[in-house]
Amino acid sequence: MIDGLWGWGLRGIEAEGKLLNVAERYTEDSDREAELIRLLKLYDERAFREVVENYKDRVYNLCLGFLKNEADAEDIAQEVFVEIYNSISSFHEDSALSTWIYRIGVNKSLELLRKTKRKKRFGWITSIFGIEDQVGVKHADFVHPGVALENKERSQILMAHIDKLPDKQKVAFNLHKLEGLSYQEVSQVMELSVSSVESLLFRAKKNLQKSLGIYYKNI
Amino acid sequence: MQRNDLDNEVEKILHSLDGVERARLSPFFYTKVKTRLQTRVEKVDRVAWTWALTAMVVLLVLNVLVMIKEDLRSNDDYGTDDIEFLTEEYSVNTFNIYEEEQLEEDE
Repeated sequence: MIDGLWGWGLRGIEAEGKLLNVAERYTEDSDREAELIRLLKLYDERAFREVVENYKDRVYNLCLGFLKNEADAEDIAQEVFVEIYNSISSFHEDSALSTWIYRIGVNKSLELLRKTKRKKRFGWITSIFGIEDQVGVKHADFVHPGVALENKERSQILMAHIDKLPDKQKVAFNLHKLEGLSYQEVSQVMELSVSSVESLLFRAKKNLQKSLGIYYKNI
Repeated sequence: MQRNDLDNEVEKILHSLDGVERARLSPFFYTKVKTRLQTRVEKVDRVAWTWALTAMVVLLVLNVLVMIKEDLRSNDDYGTDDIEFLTEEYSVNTFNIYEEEQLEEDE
Protein backbone atom coordinates (compact mmCIF):
# COMPACT_ATOMS: atom_id res chain seq x y z
CA MET A 1 0.00 0.00 0.00
CA ILE A 2 2.80 2.39 0.93
CA ASP A 3 4.50 1.58 -2.35
CA GLY A 4 1.26 2.47 -4.05
CA LEU A 5 1.02 5.66 -2.06
CA TRP A 6 4.45 6.87 -3.05
CA GLY A 7 4.61 5.08 -6.35
CA TRP A 8 2.76 7.81 -8.19
CA GLY A 9 5.39 10.42 -7.38
CA LEU A 10 8.31 8.13 -8.03
CA ARG A 11 6.90 7.07 -11.38
CA GLY A 12 6.51 10.74 -12.27
CA ILE A 13 10.14 11.40 -11.52
CA GLU A 14 11.39 8.29 -13.26
CA ALA A 15 9.42 9.40 -16.28
CA GLU A 16 11.75 12.38 -16.50
CA GLY A 17 14.52 9.93 -17.15
CA LYS A 18 16.46 10.25 -13.91
CA LEU A 19 16.16 8.62 -10.54
CA LEU A 20 16.55 11.35 -8.01
CA ASN A 21 19.02 11.72 -5.25
CA VAL A 22 17.43 14.70 -3.53
CA ALA A 23 20.46 15.81 -1.52
CA GLU A 24 22.80 15.74 -4.51
CA ARG A 25 20.67 17.99 -6.62
CA TYR A 26 20.55 20.98 -4.32
CA THR A 27 22.96 23.80 -4.82
CA GLU A 28 21.65 26.82 -2.96
CA ASP A 29 19.05 27.16 -0.22
CA SER A 30 16.36 28.77 -2.35
CA ASP A 31 16.97 26.34 -5.19
CA ARG A 32 16.93 23.56 -2.65
CA GLU A 33 13.58 24.65 -1.25
CA ALA A 34 12.09 25.14 -4.72
CA GLU A 35 13.27 21.67 -5.71
CA LEU A 36 11.98 20.19 -2.46
CA ILE A 37 8.55 21.73 -3.05
CA ARG A 38 8.51 20.50 -6.63
CA LEU A 39 9.30 16.96 -5.47
CA LEU A 40 6.73 17.18 -2.69
CA LYS A 41 4.13 18.09 -5.27
CA LEU A 42 5.10 14.90 -7.09
CA TYR A 43 4.55 13.00 -3.80
CA ASP A 44 8.19 11.94 -3.69
CA GLU A 45 8.80 9.92 -0.51
CA ARG A 46 12.39 11.03 0.02
CA ALA A 47 11.44 14.68 -0.25
CA PHE A 48 8.59 14.19 2.20
CA ARG A 49 10.87 12.36 4.61
CA GLU A 50 13.36 15.21 4.40
CA VAL A 51 10.64 17.73 5.26
CA VAL A 52 9.44 15.61 8.20
CA GLU A 53 12.96 15.16 9.55
CA ASN A 54 13.81 18.86 9.15
CA TYR A 55 10.65 20.28 10.66
CA LYS A 56 9.34 17.66 13.09
CA ASP A 57 11.00 19.14 16.20
CA ARG A 58 9.99 22.71 15.31
CA VAL A 59 6.37 21.68 14.77
CA TYR A 60 6.33 19.54 17.92
CA ASN A 61 7.89 22.30 20.02
CA LEU A 62 5.36 24.84 18.77
CA CYS A 63 2.40 22.50 19.39
CA LEU A 64 3.73 21.66 22.85
CA GLY A 65 3.78 25.37 23.68
CA PHE A 66 0.07 25.59 22.91
CA LEU A 67 -1.18 22.22 24.16
CA LYS A 68 1.10 21.55 27.15
CA ASN A 69 0.69 17.83 26.72
CA GLU A 70 3.31 15.65 25.01
CA ALA A 71 0.86 13.09 23.59
CA ASP A 72 -1.46 15.74 22.11
CA ALA A 73 1.49 17.72 20.73
CA GLU A 74 2.86 14.62 18.98
CA ASP A 75 -0.58 13.75 17.64
CA ILE A 76 -1.08 17.25 16.23
CA ALA A 77 2.46 17.25 14.81
CA GLN A 78 1.57 14.06 12.90
CA GLU A 79 -1.63 15.72 11.67
CA VAL A 80 0.41 18.70 10.47
CA PHE A 81 2.57 16.47 8.25
CA VAL A 82 -0.45 14.55 6.96
CA GLU A 83 -1.96 17.92 6.03
CA ILE A 84 1.29 18.99 4.35
CA TYR A 85 1.30 15.80 2.29
CA ASN A 86 -2.35 16.13 1.32
CA SER A 87 -2.47 19.84 0.54
CA ILE A 88 0.99 20.54 -0.90
CA SER A 89 -0.65 21.06 -4.29
CA SER A 90 -2.51 24.08 -2.88
CA PHE A 91 0.76 25.66 -1.63
CA HIS A 92 1.43 28.50 -4.08
CA GLU A 93 4.92 29.36 -2.80
CA ASP A 94 3.90 32.91 -1.89
CA SER A 95 5.69 32.33 1.43
CA ALA A 96 8.57 30.15 2.59
CA LEU A 97 7.84 26.48 3.19
CA SER A 98 8.72 26.89 6.89
CA THR A 99 6.20 29.75 7.23
CA TRP A 100 3.48 27.60 5.68
CA ILE A 101 4.33 24.67 7.97
CA TYR A 102 4.30 26.88 11.09
CA ARG A 103 0.93 28.29 9.99
CA ILE A 104 -0.55 24.78 9.72
CA GLY A 105 0.91 23.93 13.14
CA VAL A 106 -0.62 27.04 14.74
CA ASN A 107 -4.04 26.42 13.15
CA LYS A 108 -4.14 22.75 14.14
CA SER A 109 -3.12 23.52 17.73
CA LEU A 110 -5.71 26.30 18.10
CA GLU A 111 -8.34 24.00 16.59
CA LEU A 112 -7.67 21.38 19.27
CA LEU A 113 -7.72 24.03 22.02
CA ARG A 114 -11.12 25.29 20.81
CA LYS A 115 -12.41 21.71 20.63
CA THR A 116 -11.25 21.14 24.20
CA LYS A 117 -12.99 24.33 25.34
CA ARG A 118 -16.23 23.24 23.67
CA LYS A 119 -15.98 19.85 25.34
CA LYS A 120 -15.42 21.47 28.71
CA ARG A 121 -18.51 23.63 28.19
CA PHE A 122 -20.66 20.56 27.56
CA GLY A 123 -18.67 18.39 29.95
CA TRP A 124 -21.44 18.26 32.53
CA ILE A 125 -23.76 16.60 29.99
CA THR A 126 -21.22 13.94 29.03
CA SER A 127 -20.38 13.35 32.70
CA ILE A 128 -24.07 12.55 33.37
CA PHE A 129 -23.85 9.74 30.82
CA GLY A 130 -20.44 8.68 32.11
CA ILE A 131 -18.62 9.51 28.84
CA GLU A 132 -15.07 10.60 29.49
CA ASP A 133 -13.04 12.07 26.65
CA GLN A 134 -9.35 12.53 27.31
CA VAL A 135 -8.58 14.47 24.12
CA GLY A 136 -6.84 17.76 24.76
CA VAL A 137 -6.26 17.27 28.46
CA LYS A 138 -3.83 19.91 29.70
CA HIS A 139 -1.50 19.37 32.58
CA ALA A 140 -1.57 22.28 34.98
CA ASP A 141 1.90 21.32 36.18
CA PHE A 142 3.38 21.11 32.70
CA VAL A 143 7.05 21.96 32.44
CA HIS A 144 8.58 22.48 29.02
CA PRO A 145 11.33 19.84 28.58
CA GLY A 146 13.76 22.40 27.17
CA VAL A 147 13.74 24.73 30.16
CA ALA A 148 16.85 24.95 32.33
CA LEU A 149 16.50 23.32 35.76
CA GLU A 150 16.68 26.58 37.74
CA ASN A 151 13.84 28.07 35.64
CA LYS A 152 11.48 25.10 35.77
CA GLU A 153 9.18 26.41 38.49
CA ARG A 154 8.99 29.95 37.06
CA SER A 155 8.42 28.71 33.51
CA GLN A 156 5.60 26.51 34.81
CA ILE A 157 3.86 29.60 36.20
CA LEU A 158 4.53 31.56 33.01
CA MET A 159 3.12 28.81 30.75
CA ALA A 160 -0.06 28.70 32.83
CA HIS A 161 -0.49 32.47 32.44
CA ILE A 162 0.29 32.43 28.67
CA ASP A 163 -2.73 30.13 28.39
CA LYS A 164 -5.01 32.94 29.54
CA LEU A 165 -3.87 35.34 26.79
CA PRO A 166 -6.09 36.04 23.77
CA ASP A 167 -5.31 33.73 20.82
CA LYS A 168 -3.37 36.24 18.69
CA GLN A 169 -1.16 37.34 21.59
CA LYS A 170 -0.60 33.70 22.53
CA VAL A 171 0.43 32.78 18.98
CA ALA A 172 2.83 35.74 18.68
CA PHE A 173 4.33 35.04 22.10
CA ASN A 174 4.83 31.31 21.48
CA LEU A 175 6.35 31.81 18.03
CA HIS A 176 8.72 34.48 19.31
CA LYS A 177 9.65 33.06 22.72
CA LEU A 178 9.48 29.30 22.24
CA GLU A 179 10.43 28.98 18.59
CA GLY A 180 12.74 31.99 18.58
CA LEU A 181 11.27 33.48 15.41
CA SER A 182 12.05 37.11 14.60
CA TYR A 183 9.27 39.73 14.43
CA GLN A 184 9.51 39.54 10.63
CA GLU A 185 9.06 35.75 10.63
CA VAL A 186 6.19 35.92 13.14
CA SER A 187 4.49 38.52 10.95
CA GLN A 188 4.77 36.20 7.93
CA VAL A 189 3.33 33.22 9.81
CA MET A 190 0.45 35.29 11.21
CA GLU A 191 -0.06 37.26 7.97
CA LEU A 192 0.17 40.56 9.83
CA SER A 193 2.44 43.59 9.56
CA VAL A 194 5.59 43.73 11.68
CA SER A 195 4.19 46.66 13.67
CA SER A 196 1.05 44.62 14.49
CA VAL A 197 3.25 41.82 15.80
CA GLU A 198 5.24 44.30 17.91
CA SER A 199 1.99 45.64 19.31
CA LEU A 200 0.68 42.10 20.02
CA LEU A 201 3.88 41.17 21.87
CA PHE A 202 3.82 44.43 23.84
CA ARG A 203 0.21 43.80 24.89
CA ALA A 204 0.99 40.15 25.69
CA LYS A 205 3.83 41.26 27.99
CA LYS A 206 1.60 43.86 29.69
CA ASN A 207 -1.19 41.30 30.22
CA LEU A 208 1.26 38.78 31.63
CA GLN A 209 2.74 41.36 34.03
CA LYS A 210 -0.76 42.22 35.18
CA SER A 211 -1.96 38.63 35.70
CA LEU A 212 1.32 37.58 37.35
CA GLY A 213 1.07 40.59 39.67
CA ILE A 214 -2.45 39.53 40.71
CA TYR A 215 -1.24 35.94 41.10
CA TYR A 216 1.52 36.96 43.54
CA LYS A 217 -0.73 39.31 45.48
CA ASN A 218 -3.14 36.43 46.08
CA ILE A 219 -0.48 34.02 47.34
CA MET B 1 5.91 40.50 49.15
CA GLN B 2 7.35 44.02 48.74
CA ARG B 3 6.56 45.96 45.55
CA ASN B 4 10.16 45.76 44.30
CA ASP B 5 10.47 42.07 45.07
CA LEU B 6 7.18 41.43 43.26
CA ASP B 7 8.31 43.36 40.16
CA ASN B 8 11.61 41.49 40.19
CA GLU B 9 9.91 38.12 40.49
CA VAL B 10 7.48 38.95 37.67
CA GLU B 11 10.42 39.98 35.46
CA LYS B 12 12.25 36.76 36.29
CA ILE B 13 9.16 34.75 35.38
CA LEU B 14 8.78 36.63 32.10
CA HIS B 15 12.38 35.76 31.23
CA SER B 16 12.18 32.16 32.40
CA LEU B 17 11.68 30.93 28.85
CA ASP B 18 14.77 32.75 27.54
CA GLY B 19 17.19 30.32 26.00
CA VAL B 20 14.70 27.46 26.14
CA GLU B 21 15.85 24.46 24.16
CA ARG B 22 13.63 22.95 21.53
CA ALA B 23 11.66 19.86 22.64
CA ARG B 24 12.61 16.83 20.54
CA LEU B 25 10.61 13.98 19.09
CA SER B 26 11.58 10.31 18.88
CA PRO B 27 13.45 9.11 15.77
CA PHE B 28 10.46 6.91 14.92
CA PHE B 29 8.22 9.88 14.26
CA TYR B 30 8.46 9.55 10.47
CA THR B 31 7.26 5.93 10.64
CA LYS B 32 4.24 7.04 12.66
CA VAL B 33 3.38 9.76 10.11
CA LYS B 34 3.72 7.24 7.29
CA THR B 35 1.43 4.77 9.08
CA ARG B 36 -1.13 7.52 9.68
CA LEU B 37 -1.06 8.51 6.01
CA GLN B 38 -1.48 4.90 4.94
CA THR B 39 -4.42 4.38 7.31
CA ARG B 40 -6.04 7.58 6.05
CA VAL B 41 -5.73 6.45 2.39
CA GLU B 42 -7.22 3.02 3.20
CA LYS B 43 -10.06 4.69 5.07
CA VAL B 44 -10.78 7.03 2.13
CA ASP B 45 -10.75 4.02 -0.23
CA ARG B 46 -13.20 2.16 1.99
CA VAL B 47 -15.54 5.16 2.18
CA ALA B 48 -15.41 5.61 -1.62
CA TRP B 49 -16.28 1.95 -2.19
CA THR B 50 -19.13 2.10 0.30
CA TRP B 51 -20.62 5.11 -1.50
CA ALA B 52 -20.24 3.49 -4.91
CA LEU B 53 -21.95 0.29 -3.73
CA THR B 54 -24.77 2.22 -2.06
CA ALA B 55 -25.36 4.23 -5.26
CA MET B 56 -25.48 1.02 -7.29
CA VAL B 57 -27.98 -0.62 -4.94
CA VAL B 58 -30.20 2.51 -4.97
CA LEU B 59 -30.16 2.57 -8.79
CA LEU B 60 -30.99 -1.10 -8.95
CA VAL B 61 -33.92 -0.72 -6.54
CA LEU B 62 -35.25 2.28 -8.53
CA ASN B 63 -35.04 0.30 -11.76
CA VAL B 64 -36.92 -2.63 -10.27
CA LEU B 65 -39.61 -0.28 -8.88
CA VAL B 66 -40.10 1.40 -12.27
CA MET B 67 -40.34 -1.98 -13.99
CA ILE B 68 -42.96 -3.24 -11.50
CA LYS B 69 -44.99 -0.03 -11.91
CA GLU B 70 -44.90 -0.28 -15.71
CA ASP B 71 -45.97 -3.87 -15.51
CA LEU B 72 -48.96 -2.99 -13.30
CA ARG B 73 -50.01 -0.15 -15.63
CA SER B 74 -50.01 -2.36 -18.73
CA ASN B 75 -52.17 -4.95 -16.92
CA ASP B 76 -55.01 -2.60 -15.94
CA ASP B 77 -57.92 -2.21 -18.41
CA TYR B 78 -59.55 1.01 -17.50
CA GLY B 79 -57.28 3.03 -19.79
CA THR B 80 -59.66 2.84 -22.76
CA ASP B 81 -62.62 3.78 -20.55
CA ASP B 82 -60.84 6.94 -19.59
CA ILE B 83 -60.35 7.89 -23.23
CA GLU B 84 -63.99 7.31 -24.06
CA PHE B 85 -65.13 9.27 -21.04
CA LEU B 86 -62.91 12.20 -22.00
CA THR B 87 -64.10 12.06 -25.62
CA GLU B 88 -67.73 12.22 -24.57
CA GLU B 89 -67.15 14.84 -21.92
CA TYR B 90 -65.32 17.24 -24.24
CA SER B 91 -67.17 16.23 -27.44
CA VAL B 92 -63.98 15.61 -29.24
CA ASN B 93 -64.42 14.60 -32.87
CA THR B 94 -62.97 11.17 -33.16
CA PHE B 95 -64.20 10.27 -36.60
CA ASN B 96 -61.85 8.33 -38.64
CA ILE B 97 -61.88 7.69 -42.33
CA TYR B 98 -63.89 4.45 -42.07
CA GLU B 99 -66.61 6.07 -39.98
CA GLU B 100 -66.82 8.89 -42.53
CA GLU B 101 -67.37 6.35 -45.31
CA GLN B 102 -70.09 4.66 -43.24
CA LEU B 103 -71.86 7.99 -42.76
CA GLU B 104 -71.78 8.73 -46.46
CA GLU B 105 -73.31 5.32 -47.18
CA ASP B 106 -76.06 5.89 -44.63
CA GLU B 107 -76.94 9.19 -46.22
